[in-house]
Amino acid sequence: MMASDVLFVVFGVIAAACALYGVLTRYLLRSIVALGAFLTAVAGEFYLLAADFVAMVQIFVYVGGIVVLMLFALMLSTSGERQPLAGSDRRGLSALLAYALGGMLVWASVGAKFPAVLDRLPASVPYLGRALLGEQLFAFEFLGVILLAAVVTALALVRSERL
Amino acid sequence: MSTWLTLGRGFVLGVVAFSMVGVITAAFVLLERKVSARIQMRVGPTRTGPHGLLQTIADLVKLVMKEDVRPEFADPVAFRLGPMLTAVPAVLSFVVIPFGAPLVMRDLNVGIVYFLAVPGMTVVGLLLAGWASYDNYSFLGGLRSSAQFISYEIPRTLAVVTVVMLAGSLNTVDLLEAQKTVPYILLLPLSFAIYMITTLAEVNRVPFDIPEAESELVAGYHTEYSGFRWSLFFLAEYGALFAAAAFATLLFLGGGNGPVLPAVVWFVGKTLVVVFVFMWVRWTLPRFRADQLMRLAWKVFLPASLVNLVLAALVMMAVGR
Repeated sequence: MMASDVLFVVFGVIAAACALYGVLTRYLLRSIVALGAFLTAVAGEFYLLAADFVAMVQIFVYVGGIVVLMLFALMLSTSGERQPLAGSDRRGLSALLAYALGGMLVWASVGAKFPAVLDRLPASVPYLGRALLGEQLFAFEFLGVILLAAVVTALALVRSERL
Repeated sequence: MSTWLTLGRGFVLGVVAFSMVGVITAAFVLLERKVSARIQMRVGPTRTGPHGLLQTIADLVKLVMKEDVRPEFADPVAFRLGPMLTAVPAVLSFVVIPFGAPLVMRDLNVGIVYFLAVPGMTVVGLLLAGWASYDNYSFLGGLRSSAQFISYEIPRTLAVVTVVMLAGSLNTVDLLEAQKTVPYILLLPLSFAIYMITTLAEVNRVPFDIPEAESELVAGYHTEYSGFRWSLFFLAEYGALFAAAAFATLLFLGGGNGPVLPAVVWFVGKTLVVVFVFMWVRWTLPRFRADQLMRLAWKVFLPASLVNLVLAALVMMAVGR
């Protein structure tokens, strides 16, 4: 076994454990921190799979941005409250959604043909940049529009609440 | 066999990085006290060792021996996790600093993105520490630090993007190679200015040290910490200061490029000059108010950095590179 194989397994175990803990714990804060650890471990897997740029962006955007925003939102909304969450009263629906999504992911990954892992690519950034502004331009721009719509909607919601 | 060798090498490099941050923190605390003293026409510590050189070592011994106090209502897990999550990213950012061409722990293809991304994890630690302490001052300090960090991250990244555009690479060693003839401070002065000011905000130093403003928040997110956990926050602060200064050197001042002396000397020398400038600013300027700070980030630095980005792109297109 190569060192990268050992690390791949280690990161995988960490990711799986953190994901499980994040779902199982009743404390929202711990669940968010576990999500952060999970995302960091996944970044490690990306790095070992020669996608170094994706790994860094994963940490930059998800750990440094999304997790911080989630913590921020949690602290602004329930600043005094530290009790564990009560169980949901819509368990059936959540379970159905979760199993459906999980089934889809498993189905997709079983059917997919993954290319063999290459040795380190010389630099993945130029390829990525050309793909995003070339053949994937429509998807890229479309995501931008969705995000813009989300921001505008959030602002509209906040505004109507205040009025 | 080589598996264990590789893993062992990684472990040793980790220990080296941690020790480096420890030594740098000890030296910088003393430097800060001396610089602040000179600026305020005092002499600073003089009693411990020759010229007070051993003052931080003595302080360190005192800190380690102090009682570890945990507030009664503090969240036990988050309270312990906070200082660790704050200190580790600061140490991690040392991995990609090229002290001289071969003297870099890991020469990543995307070293610059790494440097922008990894210190960002510090905020998670600060937020946790502030929240776990169960104390209004800590809590406000944690919230302010995260709001500030997220706001200043954007203009800072945009300033670094111009450097990447000019160099055409995200690799730190390539970047130094590209600055062999002209350091980028001469080509991109506006980017340098934006980087320096937003970096002051990112490492929570005056005039942007709102998260730990003594006059209103006692000590911000580390109000409730003592002993070794408290010193981890200090480690993070000065480690991040050195890393930020090292990256200013790398991105704009040509890194280890310079005549006669070896690259390491040039690199560390330039970095120390930048650190001195940061300290100088800290002891000269008063502190901003929280709302002024946010207005500055979103209404001045964000537009300025966008304009800078477009200008740099236009000039590069006109010159044809």
